[in-house]
Amino acid sequence: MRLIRIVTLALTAVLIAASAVSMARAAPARAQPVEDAPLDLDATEKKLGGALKAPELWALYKARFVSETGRVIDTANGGISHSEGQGYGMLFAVAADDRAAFDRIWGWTRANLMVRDDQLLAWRWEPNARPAVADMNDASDGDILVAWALVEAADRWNDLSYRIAARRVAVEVGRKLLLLGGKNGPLLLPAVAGFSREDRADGPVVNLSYWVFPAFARLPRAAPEVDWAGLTQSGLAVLRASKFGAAGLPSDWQSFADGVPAPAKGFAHAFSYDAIRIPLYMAMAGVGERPAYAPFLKLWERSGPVVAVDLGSGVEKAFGEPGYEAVAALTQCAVQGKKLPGDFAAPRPSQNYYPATLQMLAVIAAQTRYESCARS
Amino acid sequence: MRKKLNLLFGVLLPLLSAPPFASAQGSRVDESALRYYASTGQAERAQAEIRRLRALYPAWTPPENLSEKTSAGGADEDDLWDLFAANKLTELQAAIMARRAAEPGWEPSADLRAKLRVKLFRARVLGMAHDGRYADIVRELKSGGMRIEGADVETLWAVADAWRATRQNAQALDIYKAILKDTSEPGPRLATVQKAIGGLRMDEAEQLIALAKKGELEPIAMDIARARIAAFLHDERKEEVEAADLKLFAEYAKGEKGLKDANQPGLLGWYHYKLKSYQDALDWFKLSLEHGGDAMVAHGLAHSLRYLGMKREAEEVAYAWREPLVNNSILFIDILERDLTRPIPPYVEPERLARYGEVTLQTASGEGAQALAWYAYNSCQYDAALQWFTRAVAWHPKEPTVYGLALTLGRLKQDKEATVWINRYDGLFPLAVEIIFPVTVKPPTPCDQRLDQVAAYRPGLPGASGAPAPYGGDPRAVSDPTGRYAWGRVSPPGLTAPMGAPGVPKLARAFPIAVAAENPLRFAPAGQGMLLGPGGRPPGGFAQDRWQTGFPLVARRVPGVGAMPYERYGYALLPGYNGVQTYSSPKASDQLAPAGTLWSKEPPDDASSDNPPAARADPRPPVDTRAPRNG
Repeated sequence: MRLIRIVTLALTAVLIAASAVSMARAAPARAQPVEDAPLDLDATEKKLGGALKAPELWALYKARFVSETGRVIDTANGGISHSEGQGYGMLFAVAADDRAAFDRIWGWTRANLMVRDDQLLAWRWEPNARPAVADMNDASDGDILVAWALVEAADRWNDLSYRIAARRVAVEVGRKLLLLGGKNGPLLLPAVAGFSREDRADGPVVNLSYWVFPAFARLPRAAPEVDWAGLTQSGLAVLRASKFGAAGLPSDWQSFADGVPAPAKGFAHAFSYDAIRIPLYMAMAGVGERPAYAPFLKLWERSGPVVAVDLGSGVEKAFGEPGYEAVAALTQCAVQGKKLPGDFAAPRPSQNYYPATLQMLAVIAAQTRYESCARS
Repeated sequence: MRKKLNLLFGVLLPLLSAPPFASAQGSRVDESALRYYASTGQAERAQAEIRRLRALYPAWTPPENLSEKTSAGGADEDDLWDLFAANKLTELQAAIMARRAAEPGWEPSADLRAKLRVKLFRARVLGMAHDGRYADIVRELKSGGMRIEGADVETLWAVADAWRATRQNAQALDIYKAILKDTSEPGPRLATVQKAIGGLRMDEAEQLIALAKKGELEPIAMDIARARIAAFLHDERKEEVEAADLKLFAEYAKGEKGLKDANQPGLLGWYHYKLKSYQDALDWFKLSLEHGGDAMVAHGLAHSLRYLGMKREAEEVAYAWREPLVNNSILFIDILERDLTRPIPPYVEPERLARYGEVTLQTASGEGAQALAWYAYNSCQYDAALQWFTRAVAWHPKEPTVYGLALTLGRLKQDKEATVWINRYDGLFPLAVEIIFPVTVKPPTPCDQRLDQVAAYRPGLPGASGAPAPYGGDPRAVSDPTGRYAWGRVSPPGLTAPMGAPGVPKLARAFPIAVAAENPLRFAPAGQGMLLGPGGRPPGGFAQDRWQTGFPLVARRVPGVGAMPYERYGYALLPGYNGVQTYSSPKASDQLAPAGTLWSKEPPDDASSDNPPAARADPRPPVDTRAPRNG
C-alpha cells in the first residue's frame, strides 16, 4: 500500500513538472522571472508600421515637435533639428500609420539635410543661422534611423521611392561608417569625419548609443550585403567591455585606440543622455543576455529616479523628465517581467523633445514585443 | 517553473549516472533491452524484441553475441527494461525511485543506469534542440549538468548545432571530429561532413574533410566543391577554387539537375565576377536567367555587361529588372547618369531620356533629376533644366545641383529667384556663391558656340572631322537619325508644378539678402499626385515653428566647407556653431576614407571613368551556401 502511494506521488510530481514545462513554453520565462535563469527575449524581426496603438501620444508629439513643413524640433536645444530627430519623427509617423506626416518629415529631411555629396545626412540644422546647416559632417545614428524608417515606410506603404532611398542610405552607412576586421564584428564610426584613428590620437572613438539595435534586424531588407548582424554582436561586445566607475556603466563616448574601451578625450566621462538609450535599444530589439542589462537595472534599483552618472566622481543627477523613467520601466519589464506603470504611455504635455522621444520608443517597444507587461 | 524541472533532473541524473560508454554508437538501433532479455535467458521476450526492432529498422540484423552477460547483477529488472524498451522514461524513473524507497539498498543494474542516462540525455537534448533552446543546451553542457559520453550520432549533431548556434564553432568542430573518429558507418559520416559544410566556416569544415578516408567523400564531392566556391565569395577562402572542383561543379550547374535551380549557375556567375572574368560571369548569368534566374542574377548580368563595355545593354537589363529589385533601379539611374552629366553630353534618344525621366519621377530620384537637369542645361534646354533642377534640389540638394539651379535661373533671366538660392546656401556652397563672385570670368558657353565644340567631338554632325565616337559602339546611340539635333529632347516632368519657393523680397542688392533658411521645395514621387509642403492645404495638428525668427545677412563657418569666394575681398564669416574660425581643408567632399572602411579599399573615383556610384559598393549578394532547392 505504502509503495503504491509513493509511486503515485512520484508520478504526480513528474507530471506536474512536465505540465509546468509546457506552460513555461507558452508563456516565456519573464512571466515568473528568476534572477539567474537565462534571459529568453524575443529577438525576431518585427515590423514597425502601424505598431503604435496610442494615437493620442503621436498627436501630442506631432503637435509639439513636428512643424508643418516637416521639421522635427528639439525644444530643449534652441529649436534646432538634427538627423536623429528627423529619423525618430519618420519612425513614429510610420508606427502611427500617418503617411501624410511621414512624407512631410522625410520631405524636409532630404531637402534640408541631404546637402552632402554622398547619401548621408548633415547632422545639425539651426533655424536662425546663415546657412542653417551647421556642420557638413553626418551622425551615423541619424543616418541609421532615417534608413530604418524608410525601410519601415517602404514595407508599410509599398513605395519604391522609400525602398530606393533606404537602400542608398544603408549602403553608404555600410561603405563609409563601418570599421571592418574587428574580432567581434565591425565598429560603428559616429560620423564620417572626426572620430577615426587618422582623425584623433585616441581614435577610433565610438558612441555605443549609435548602435540602433532594433534597426539592425530590419536593415538587411535594404542592404543585405552589409553585416548588420555583426554590428549587433560588436555592440554587445563593446558593452561587455565598457564597465566604468563604481557602477560598471558604459560612458557616452569611448576611445578604442587600444582595442579596449577607455574614456575619450574631450568628452565628459559620463553615463548620460546618449548612453541611456543603450538599454532602450537592446530591449527594443530583444537582444542581450541578463548580465548586459544588470548594471542599468542595479543603478535604477538603487537610485530610484533615472539618473545620469559621472563615471569619475560617481556623482548622480536625476534626468528629471518622465521619458527617462519610461526607459527604465521598459527595461525592467523586458528583463524582470515587471508590470509597466499605469502612466507609462500617458501623454505628457510639458515634456521636452528628447524625453518625449524616449517615451515614444519605449511605448512602441512595449507594444510590439512586451505586451505581457502591460496586462494587469 | 523551469527551474523546478531542472531541479528534478538535477537529482535524477547524478543518481543514474554511471561510467561512460567506451565510444559513441554509430547505430541508432537501441539493443539494450534485447541484450538484457537474452542475457537473462528470456528467449520469448528476446524474440519479441527482435521482431519489434526489425519492424522499426528493416535493415537491422540481430547481433550475434546476444548471450553475453550484462555487467550488472540486476536480476528481476524485467518491468524496468520493459519501460525502457517502450521509451516510458518518466515512468521508469518513477518506478526506480519507488523501488529504492520500498527496498532500501536496492539499486538498478549499472547497465540500466548507464543506458537510461544516455536515453534521458538524448531525449533532453533533442527536445531542447527542437524548441531552439540551444543556449540552454550549451549552458547545461558547460555547467557539467549534461555529459555527451555514449550519446548517439543524432544527439551529437544536436549538441554541435547548439555550439554553432551560440557561435562556438570550435566546439562544434570537435564534436564532428569525434563522430568521424568513432563512427564507421558511411551514412552518418557523410552526413556529418555535410553538416559541417552547411554550418561551419569552410576553413573549419576543411579540417574535417581532411580527416576523411580516401575516396570516402566522393558522393558529396559536388557539395564540397560548391561550398568552396561559396567560401571564396564570402572571403572565407583566399585562394581560388581548384580547377577540378570548379569543373565538377560547372558540369553539375549546367546539367539537368543544376539548371532546375537557377542559383547554381548563378553562383558560378558571381564566382567569375569576383575574379573579374566578366565574360565567363556573363555566360553563367545568362544561363541562369534562361532557367529562371532572379533579379539578383540580372543585377550581376548588368554589372558584367558594364565591365565588358556594353553599357547600352547593361542599361536595358537594369531597366527591365528595375521593379523586382531596387538594386537594378538604382543601377539604371546611375549607369546613364555619368553620360548625362558630361560637360559635352552625347546624343541620347528621346525615348531613352523619357523612360529615364519616368523612373526618376516614380522613384523621386535626386540623382536622376540632376542628371536630366544637367543634360538639358548643357544642351541649352533651360526650361526643362529648370524643372528637373527644382526636383533635384527638393530630393538631394548637393552643391553642384544647387549651383545648377542658380545657373539655370540666371539663364532664364530669373535673377531674383537665383539670388534667393545663392543666399540660402551662402556659407555652405562656395560654388553657388561664386556665380556672384567669380574667380575668373567663365560664363557658361552660349549654345551657338557649343554646337561647334560638339561637332569637333562627334561624327555625324555638320563639320565633324571624323573623331572617334565618344559613346558606345552602337551607331544608333550616337546621333539623331533626323540629323536635326545634337542632343535628345528632354521632356519636362508630367506636371508643371509651381515651385514652392517663397517670393523674393525686393532688395536693392542681390547679395547678401535675408532669405528663409529652409529649403521649401517638395515633390512627391510620380503617381502620388499632390505637391507637398507649403502651398498645399494648411494641415492641422502640427507644431508652430516659433524658432525661425530672423534671417541673418552674415554667414558663419560650417565645418567641412572650404573658403567662400568673397573672402578674397576681405569679407569675414562668423564663427561656426562649435566656435571654429577658419574654413575646412580638406572639405567634407574631399575627405580621405578612414582605414578599415570598405570605402578606403575602393580605387580612387575617377570622374571620367564609367564607374557609376552604384558600382562602388560590391554588388554581390550574400551567397546561399546550402544545397540547392531541387538537389
